[in-house]
Amino acid sequence: MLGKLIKYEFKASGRLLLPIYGAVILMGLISSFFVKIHPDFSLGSKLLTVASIVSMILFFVLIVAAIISSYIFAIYRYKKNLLDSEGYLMNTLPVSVWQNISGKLIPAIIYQLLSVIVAFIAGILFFIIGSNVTVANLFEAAERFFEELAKASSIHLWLAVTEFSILILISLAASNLMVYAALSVGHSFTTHKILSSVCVYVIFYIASQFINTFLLIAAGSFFNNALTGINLTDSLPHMLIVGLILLETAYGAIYFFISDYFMKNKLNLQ
Amino acid sequence: MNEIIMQCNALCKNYSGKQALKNLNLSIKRGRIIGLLGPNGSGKTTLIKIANALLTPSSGQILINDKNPGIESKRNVAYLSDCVCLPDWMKVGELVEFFASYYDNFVTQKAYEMINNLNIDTNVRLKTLSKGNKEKVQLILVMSRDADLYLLDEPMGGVDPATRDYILNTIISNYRENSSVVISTHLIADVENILDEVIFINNGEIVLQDMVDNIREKQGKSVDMLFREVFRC
Repeated sequence: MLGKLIKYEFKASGRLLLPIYGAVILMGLISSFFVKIHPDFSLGSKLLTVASIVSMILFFVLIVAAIISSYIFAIYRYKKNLLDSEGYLMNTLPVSVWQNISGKLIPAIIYQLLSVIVAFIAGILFFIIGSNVTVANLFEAAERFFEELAKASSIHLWLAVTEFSILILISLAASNLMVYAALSVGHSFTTHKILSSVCVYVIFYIASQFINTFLLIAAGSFFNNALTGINLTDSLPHMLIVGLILLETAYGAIYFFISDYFMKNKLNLQ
Repeated sequence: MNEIIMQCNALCKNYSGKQALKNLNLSIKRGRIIGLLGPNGSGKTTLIKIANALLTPSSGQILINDKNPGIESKRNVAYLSDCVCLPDWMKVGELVEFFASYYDNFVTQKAYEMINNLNIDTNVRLKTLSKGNKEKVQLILVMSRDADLYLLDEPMGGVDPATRDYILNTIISNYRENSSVVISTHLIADVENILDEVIFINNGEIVLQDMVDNIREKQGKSVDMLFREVFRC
């Protein structure tokens, strides 16, 4: 059933997001084309200069719009599909509440990652077409960069990349779940549902900042007192990332539980 | 098979200090079309929402096929909400496939037949249909399920008399012997002729539950007349 929910949500979100992502790539191609035929803004046709600048501004605006809209749309879809009138349909399907929440969360994360990947690809395309750099040059440069990085630090590179990727994924999930939890709690009220959701979000935010600060101070004093004299340069970044992964996982789990509880017991559709 | 499809035991629901349902005791048997009748705000929708696990009771219990509302009951209960709640960007055909993919007891062929009879194009998006046709599509999707219990909340609210007739015919023609249909409404004259049993509800309490034939024979009144008497303002 979760597979079906995810498939449905991909389609529902993709209707709006995929055209925006397509527009980013297209605008990247258009603006790189202008740069290619008109590399020096100070010379030649003024009209071409204006067109180049406008296309680049549009390209930049579209990249920002694509990334922001993937976040906004995740919130909009959770609210519209589970907490507004469509909630009568979704919450009476023979599926569990956790499946309904995951059915929104997983596509949201994938679209958010996709928005960044699309922006990255569009940027590379812009760079390759607009300049004399070839794809081979880029790969060589990237390889050199990673080699240098590996040489310069004693960190195990692939381990660090893996840990960092996991951290990004978990943080994305936790940040989406924080909004889901705020919406689920806020919509359990009879009136002022949106205002309540915003207030709950602010409370969650302040509480998490408070906890983070506390943990930071606690960790600082722990390293100062308990580990004096031990060489931490090798393991510190690793410990930090693992610590953050654990912290974000805890936040995500708490927000998931809150969303699940309120959707199950305090649902108040109107 | 248990003869009682839905049972409420001392069911209470409080909303922000107000009692929407007060100690409700009720049994609904299989094989009947039942009118859940009461004025606005009497608790009809609250009761139906609790039966669909859209609300949780404050106290007491509701059982569908002897089980608390949950995934199992959602498989066997076909629910029509009091508003059009379908995603309107979907095409009519996509909605049929959507229902078919989630409900094992959904009869796709039946749904397409009814939609074709209305001359509704399955390739158009729901949002392009008129309000009446949207409601008809929603009803068709609900009634195309071979469910044990159909809970229809205000199925005829705000539609013209011809559409009302269509809705009632659709309900009667798709109703199965072993299932029950609960129709919540205050348009009693329209539904009276198809009802086997009526439940009058007021201020969250059951005022009366009886067979329609009994009301006619014993009291010599139509359900509509009795309703006007009971709920006189």
